[in-house]
Amino acid sequence: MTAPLTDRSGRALVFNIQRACIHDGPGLRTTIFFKGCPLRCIWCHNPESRAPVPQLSFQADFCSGCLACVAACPNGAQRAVRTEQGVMHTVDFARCTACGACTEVCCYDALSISGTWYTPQELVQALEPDRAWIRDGGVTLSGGEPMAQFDFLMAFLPELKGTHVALETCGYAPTEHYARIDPYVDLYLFDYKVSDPEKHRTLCGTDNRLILENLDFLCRRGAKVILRLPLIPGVNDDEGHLRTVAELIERYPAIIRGEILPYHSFGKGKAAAHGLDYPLGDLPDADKGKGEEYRQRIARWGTDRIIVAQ
Amino acid sequence: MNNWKVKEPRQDLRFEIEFTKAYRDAVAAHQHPAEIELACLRAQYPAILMPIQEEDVLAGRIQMGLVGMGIQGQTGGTGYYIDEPRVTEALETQSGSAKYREDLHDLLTFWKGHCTYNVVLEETPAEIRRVIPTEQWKTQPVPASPIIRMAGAYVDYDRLLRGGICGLEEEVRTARAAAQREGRDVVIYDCMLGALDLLRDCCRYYRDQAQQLSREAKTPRRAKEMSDLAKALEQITLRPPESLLEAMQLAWLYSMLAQLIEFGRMDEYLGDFYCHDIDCGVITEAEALKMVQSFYRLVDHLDCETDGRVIVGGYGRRNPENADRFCLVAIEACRTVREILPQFTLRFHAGTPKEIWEASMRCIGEGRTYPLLYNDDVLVPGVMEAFHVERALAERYMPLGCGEIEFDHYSFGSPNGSVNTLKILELAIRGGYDPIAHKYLSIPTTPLVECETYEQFVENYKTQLHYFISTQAKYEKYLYEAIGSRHPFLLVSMLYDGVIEKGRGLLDGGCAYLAGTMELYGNVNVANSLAAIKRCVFETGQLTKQELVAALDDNFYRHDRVRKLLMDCPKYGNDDDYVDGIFVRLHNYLCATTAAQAEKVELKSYLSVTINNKQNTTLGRWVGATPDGRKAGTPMANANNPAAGTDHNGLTAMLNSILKPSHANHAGMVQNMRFTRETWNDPKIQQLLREYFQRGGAHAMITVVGRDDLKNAMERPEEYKDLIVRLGGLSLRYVELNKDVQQEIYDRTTY
Repeated sequence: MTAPLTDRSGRALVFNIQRACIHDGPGLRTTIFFKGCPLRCIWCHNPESRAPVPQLSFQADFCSGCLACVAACPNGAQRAVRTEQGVMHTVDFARCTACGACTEVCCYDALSISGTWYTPQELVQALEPDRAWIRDGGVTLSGGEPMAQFDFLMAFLPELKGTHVALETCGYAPTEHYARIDPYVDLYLFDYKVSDPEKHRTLCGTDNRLILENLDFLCRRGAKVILRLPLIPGVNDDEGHLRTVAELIERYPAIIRGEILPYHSFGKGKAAAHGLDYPLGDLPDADKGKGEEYRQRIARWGTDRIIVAQ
Repeated sequence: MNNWKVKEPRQDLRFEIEFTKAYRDAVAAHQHPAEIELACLRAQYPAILMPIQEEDVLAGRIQMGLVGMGIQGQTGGTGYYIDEPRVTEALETQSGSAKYREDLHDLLTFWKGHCTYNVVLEETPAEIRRVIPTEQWKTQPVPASPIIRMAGAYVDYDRLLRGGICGLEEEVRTARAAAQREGRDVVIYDCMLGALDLLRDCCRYYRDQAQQLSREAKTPRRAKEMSDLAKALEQITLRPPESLLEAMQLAWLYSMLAQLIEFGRMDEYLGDFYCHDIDCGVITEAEALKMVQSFYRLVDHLDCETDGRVIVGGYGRRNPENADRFCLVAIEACRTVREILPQFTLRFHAGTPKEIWEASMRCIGEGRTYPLLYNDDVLVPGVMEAFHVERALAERYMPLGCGEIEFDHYSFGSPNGSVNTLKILELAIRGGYDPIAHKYLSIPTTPLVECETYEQFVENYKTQLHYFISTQAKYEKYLYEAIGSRHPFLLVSMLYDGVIEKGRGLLDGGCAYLAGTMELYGNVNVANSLAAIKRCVFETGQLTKQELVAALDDNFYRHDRVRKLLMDCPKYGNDDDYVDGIFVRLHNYLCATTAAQAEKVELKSYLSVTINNKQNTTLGRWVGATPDGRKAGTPMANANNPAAGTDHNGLTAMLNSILKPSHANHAGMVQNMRFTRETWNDPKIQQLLREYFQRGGAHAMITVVGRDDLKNAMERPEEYKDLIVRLGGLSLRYVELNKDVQQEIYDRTTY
């Protein structure tokens, strides 16, 4: 994916603004989810965040079968099919251009467009309701990959002066960008997924060289970093990876701690709603004990700065 | 009529037959309503008292008859009442002798014309009836409905317990002597004394039962509990209570005879007894907890789900230190007795001890919904302004039932009318014509299609609102007079400030501050509807008035585009000043219009309430499609909460919206919030709640959802769009998760 993620008018594509978040940094926070990501992790829990363009979302549970969207769609993406149960509604995502015509007539919130363009001023305005509530917390930039909309961030972040800013990043962006954005960022939630470069390429679409360089760069610079560790049973929970995690944490005093995110399959429903594949299929969720097991295994390699995320 | 939770309920109607005879005899023998009432009290007690059950350490279960004497709907009925459908059912299904059946026919026909409900309904002045002709709001489309009951007395338990039965008698005797000297009526005093005698009889009735249970007890512990209870019941007939057990027993039994279903500031009236008993080693903490638990179970057995208030905390208590100590036991009992009642209520302020707040949060966190939280720092100043009272009185505010505010043993403000503002909007759109009943239900005003401006339409709507609100105030006054002249409610009246001195029943000139409240439903949907009309019809012109009305008339059938346009207009709960401003102006108009009626009908105050019960659903059933995009018959928003699924802008925006309306112009407004357990237990969310209160939040009823809610959310996702769950480090809308993930969360949520 090489498409420019900030459009020419300096706007950014955002697919969710979540208020009153409690787990994305200190205090109560507003988390902005930017759309578009350079990685393709097979377990991605926000599959709608990957493509840097608006996308149709269809929540089948909410659909009343009124078929108003079928008449509204100019591209034949909303279709009525005759089945044994009668005429049913279905979506042909391949034909959809995300023009939004169907969402204009859907009264049941079944159809919506993931991805709204914001100017920096509009995004500041959208945060206005939260000002009084996030005084002791702040704003978290998440995604997708916020660094993929770097030019926008450089225009937006100066507007947040005085607000605590956390940046959740996969680490895959030019090091120079991290250098320039660092003055505006108080905390990095730095995802660390796979240690073996080739395996990283297989599971995430790129190798991890740049990611490790950026982690090294930020840590040496004295940035505050929390390492976020998605662990997927049988996929990236090998002992070599867990050992490297422990070593990284111990190597860099800048890393406050590592946070284990045990696998959950909620990306599956969202993938289906957006007409996307979900490579992990029916892989069951990691149970409560699994996170603790990972924590102990990492701790055994010699670090105590490791917790299971709530 | 409630389903009293008693182990072996009476099955036949012999009590009802006897009560009817007693009433007839009383009416034949006496003129004075107090004498008739006393005779009926004697017929009713101890006849309806039910046995002490194995789990009780206090005595006093009741099963009201299908005929009898009560105050409000939940205590059988208002005044002299009959539950006609259930008596009829008994006639149709029960066997019995010819005489028995004859007696049932007799009482059914007798009460038709004699029960208070029918009498006051029949005598309603024509000018009121013309406007609000029916109280059948459950089954009829009605813009405003009378509610026949006398709800929510808060009596002076503290006076009762400090003076005991003998202290009350002394007060009555003194006042009687004064009345006699001045040539005033003394009959009411004699009847008060008679009622207190009856209370003593009932204490002895249960004393004997407790003694017998003590003898038959299977364990020494139970034997002791029952012998202690028997002693307490004996002692309270002789002197004021001296222990927690005696105090609780007297408070409870008095309540059952007075038919009270609100249980006052429990920490104030029991705090001293509790501290004395603990500090002197009379009882252990565990024994105190067991008594409070037993009291709560007795409250629960009344099955009066919208009432049963127990209130703790807040400004204005006589003995804050002792009361706060008792508070912790009261909260622990609430946490551990996992029943629907009591509606346990915490009043709090900046100085409320941390332990009380933390214990309350823990209780809520276990999915108890209780305590309901009332912020004194906002409400006390608000009450001062709304009721025009001094701070000392405002500190005695008490939310009754669903949340109407009264002053402890000083004011009475029964909600006796409801106004469905959304139904009235539906009428205003059509100039007074109701598209559901297919007839005019109000005065004619210019229909929307003929209005030139939005402002003109709003003025017409206000004319319609005023028409109903002013009539409801007249009705409230009428009902007080109609019921007050028939029912002295002796035991309730005696424990209201000033009644004994005056020698008048509570509603017959005895109450120092006779007030009224009016229930409002539909306001949020109205604000959303007005915003949609303003924007789409009068500002952007996306819709013509005719298109809008045609779409509403057709319940949006084949008008999906119109409906979507309306749904996309600003909605209350998203911190959008456009619609929030409309809501606040509507709220202020409704509050001011209601308040202005007090002087006209000569009540101390007449204020509106926006409360929480099932009427948003029941009343919504008879409202057609509305301009907020709501379809015909579906529920209206509950109290001051966003309409279901319309607050898309997150929790903080929702809180910003609900903080906008004033709390200085009404008698109660309810706020619901819903969290899953994981979310609630995060300290940051509880910090958010504290922020909400610091920024002016008056009230919160917090549901920490359990399995049932999650199951409902799976089945009816459209009603649970706001439910946020925590999952592996992310907050997500529950209803947007895959079914199997929803199932998984459901499976691991255990309460």
